[in-house]
Amino acid sequence: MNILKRITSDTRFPSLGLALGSACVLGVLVPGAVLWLAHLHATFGIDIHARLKPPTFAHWLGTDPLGRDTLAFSLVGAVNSYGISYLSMVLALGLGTGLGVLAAAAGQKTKIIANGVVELGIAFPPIIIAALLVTLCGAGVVQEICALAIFFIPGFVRLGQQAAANIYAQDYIAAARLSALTPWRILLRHVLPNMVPGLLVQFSVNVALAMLAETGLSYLGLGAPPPLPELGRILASYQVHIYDHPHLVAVPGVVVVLLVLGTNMVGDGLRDRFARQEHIS
Amino acid sequence: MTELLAVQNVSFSRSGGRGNTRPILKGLNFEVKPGETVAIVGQSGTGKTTLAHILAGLMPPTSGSVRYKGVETQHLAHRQNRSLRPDLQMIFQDPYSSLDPRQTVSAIMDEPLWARALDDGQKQKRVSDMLHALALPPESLGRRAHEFSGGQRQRIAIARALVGYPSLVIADEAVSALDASAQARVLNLLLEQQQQTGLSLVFISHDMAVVQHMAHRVIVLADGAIVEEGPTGQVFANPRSAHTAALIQKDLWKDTNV
Repeated sequence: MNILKRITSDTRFPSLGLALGSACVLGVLVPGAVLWLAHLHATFGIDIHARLKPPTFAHWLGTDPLGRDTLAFSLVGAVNSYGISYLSMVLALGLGTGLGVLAAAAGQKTKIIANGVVELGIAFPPIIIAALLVTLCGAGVVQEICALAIFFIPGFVRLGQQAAANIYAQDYIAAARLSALTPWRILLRHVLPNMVPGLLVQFSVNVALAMLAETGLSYLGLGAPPPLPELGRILASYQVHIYDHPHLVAVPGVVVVLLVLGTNMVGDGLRDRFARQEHIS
Repeated sequence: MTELLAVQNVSFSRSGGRGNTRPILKGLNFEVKPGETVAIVGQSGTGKTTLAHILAGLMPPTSGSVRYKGVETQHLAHRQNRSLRPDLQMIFQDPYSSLDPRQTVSAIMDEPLWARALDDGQKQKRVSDMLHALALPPESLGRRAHEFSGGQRQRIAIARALVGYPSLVIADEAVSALDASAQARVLNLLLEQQQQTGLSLVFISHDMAVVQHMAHRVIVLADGAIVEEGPTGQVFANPRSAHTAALIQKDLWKDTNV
């Protein structure tokens, strides 16, 4: 894919942020994914006799109130939380950008509908949306993903509409029309490819924001229901021990910070890289 | 019907919000014959670019009609007229906006040829002839538009307009972004194409020297209306309106000062 090549093969601008950000995210997610796969077969050993143990060679950061390995449990939670944020952003990107591009390409009516979606969406914070969905359909992964996606759709509608409208105003679109290209072909050949860099940046920044929102939801118990570990709920369950075992809360806390910060740095790094490429060439 | 493009009573107004409309073009009538170059001159802000877009069928006039071979240009993209659509091409003013920055030159050259019944060999030959005529090296085919300078981009845009065997090209300030030698090359190429294929040109410009060199007929536009129309020699030698005289004078004055 051409955009991947633009990001990876371009060594003119070595980016510290991009490298550091990727390291933070991958450093959490790669071991997390390995543990997550192992966790599929055997549930985390709850061992009441080994609860709240200090760090050992077997359990690097000790065990939690139910005798589970604190670090491993948090890493698995991180994979779940990140996966949920990521999927919800894929959903929001697809639906939001799709509606935005349609609004830019089509007539006034679609524009009014898109604006309505934006105004309506902005009026509801994610907690209200999630609470509503949980009340109506019960708690679950799907509901959580939908709640996050609904909250982020308006932003993508707006971005998609602006970016597409900008491109539709360019003379090369007029030239394509003069060459008898159909509107559909113009969309696929000219409009979407030129939107990719902007969307990619917005996407990665929004994954970080969604990650924060997701942690908040699961902290409040509006996320996926228990056996599935999620960072927010892990944090909430460790919080009772903040006076006797303060290091416990720090583990999921630091994991959240690493993921959000790392993802943000990747987003910023991408933005810089694209901006400089446009500028130089 | 001898004319290629017939412009009848074309008006255009822009809505300024709150029900206000601002007239841009006021009841224009003229025609373009096959093989003819018609220059449209006037100061900036007289609606020349708007007229170019309407002539090309990129937007509909508020009233009146523009017909190419009897078909309204705004309907050229309809399915039943689609084979006519690439006949009418345009060279845009801004070489940065007129090329998709991430397309390669070869992809850009391909688009006007899609609707043409030519085999791949003929297409390649035509594209390389065009690049050669505009002094673009053959290896530029694989490079992307954003890698070229403004002047090079304008030449690529001109090549794109000419590559698909158009019968009418609307050139909106096509050469003002080019230096003198590139300008001469492009103008000569346009004249050459005209002799070979009977190409018609609508040449929109504020550069009176270029207009004098290129055009058979001149239309002078002021405030969205035609103030003078006639054969180039006659308009330059003996302008009937004060506005035209001023345009020519200003240009000569500029030339003597350079």
